[in-house]
Amino acid sequence: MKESVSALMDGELGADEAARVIAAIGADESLKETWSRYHLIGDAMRSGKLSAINVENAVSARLAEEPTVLAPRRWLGSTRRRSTVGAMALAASVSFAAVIAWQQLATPATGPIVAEGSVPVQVRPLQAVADNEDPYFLAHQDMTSDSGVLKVAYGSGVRH
Amino acid sequence: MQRVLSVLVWAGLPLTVLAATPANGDDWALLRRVKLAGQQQALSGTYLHQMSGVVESFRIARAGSGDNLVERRESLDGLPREVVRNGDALTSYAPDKHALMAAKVSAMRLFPALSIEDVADLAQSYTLRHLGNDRVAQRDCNWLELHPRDKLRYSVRLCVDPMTAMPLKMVTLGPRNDVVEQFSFAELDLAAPRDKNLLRPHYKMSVQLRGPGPVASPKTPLAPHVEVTGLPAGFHMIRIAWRGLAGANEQPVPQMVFTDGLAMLSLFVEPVPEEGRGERSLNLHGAINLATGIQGNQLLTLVGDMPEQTLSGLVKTLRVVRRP
Repeated sequence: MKESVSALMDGELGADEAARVIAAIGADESLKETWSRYHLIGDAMRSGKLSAINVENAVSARLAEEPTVLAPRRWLGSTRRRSTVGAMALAASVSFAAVIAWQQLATPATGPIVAEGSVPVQVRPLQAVADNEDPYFLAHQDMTSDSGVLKVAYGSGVRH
Repeated sequence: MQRVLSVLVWAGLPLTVLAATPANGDDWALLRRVKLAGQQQALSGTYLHQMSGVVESFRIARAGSGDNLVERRESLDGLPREVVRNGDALTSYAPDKHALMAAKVSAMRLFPALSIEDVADLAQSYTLRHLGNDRVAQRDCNWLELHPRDKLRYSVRLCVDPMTAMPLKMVTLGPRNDVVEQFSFAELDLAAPRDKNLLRPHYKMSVQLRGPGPVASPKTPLAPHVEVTGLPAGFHMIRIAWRGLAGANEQPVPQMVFTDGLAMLSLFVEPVPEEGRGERSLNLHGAINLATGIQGNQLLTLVGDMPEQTLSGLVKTLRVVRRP
């Protein structure tokens, strides 16, 4: 009978046969369910998303059937001792990881990078940034930081 | 320690350098967007600035737009400093005079704003190409490189957020692909800060570096017509002023500013001093160098973000001619 339901959905049945299958679906609850499920499958395959499935009742029913777990708690002492040992093991592995990481850092990185040389970085007092009071530098800054404000019309002033 | 730090720096630069693809018009349009986002995108975050021997970090917050744009950056290490943008005005703040000088220097580079005057000027001196993908401050980004057509200038690499065109990292490289200076966000939120206090200056001493309104015109309004020859192709003069150099020379001297669209170059022309300061070249700040040379009765000084060897070469070969 399920094949007939499928054939009906695909429009492959003649009028008489279709009327017979429709009557059967109306009478039989399990066929009605098959009819809806086939339509859901069809929708899912066509649209890629599920259209309006109501799972609320089914989920509530299954939850009601789940057994409640009644088990004694573990003896606290043993748990504690185990966690201390665990923490020490964890600390040991973290410091081992740190040693590995340090060794990794100490070896020059390989692989593709932005340039063939890096900025040489020294740990130097940053005050060095402030000591740049060269008058030419400050004059250059004065004249270049105000972009767009002070322009001259001297032609280009340059001959190449 | 130094080694570990530099390895950390290396580790911060994972980049899959793919075959560089040359730019088309779309890429120049992208660079315009990068420039705009770098100046205007609302944000709050922290970034690192590395240059010759120094690493410093800043917190930056930006909100509003156009004339109402407010932006504040403050140093998180070293001397306490702040740089605040308020529409067109740019002001440095600090708790004391010494720190104020440092605050002024910090205003030199306003990452993530790029120091590109006009993107249209760049194509003459630079090519633009893609260099693959990377990840900065938890964001995926695409590398874009402005590569000079000659060996005289720096290249600049930008790792750009594909959604907002925000530059997340900027690296300046010398002619041998050595990293001269770099900025990189460590964390970034592309929205105005919730805490409005992050946009207000905290220190009492201040010095205004720019606007609002017109800046005082040069002291000698009619500068003689000066023509400079021997600069690399693509450079043109954008400013000229007569100015006294504090502590160096009380007499006003002409300062001319040239740009190729990216690099800024100042040229000072002075009479040769009696107790002659010899020829010298040095690194001033990050990518900014200085070179001095004597030509006849002129002392020429070049300051700008070009490699030191380029400046010391230029100071010997360029010619300054005054025309009546």
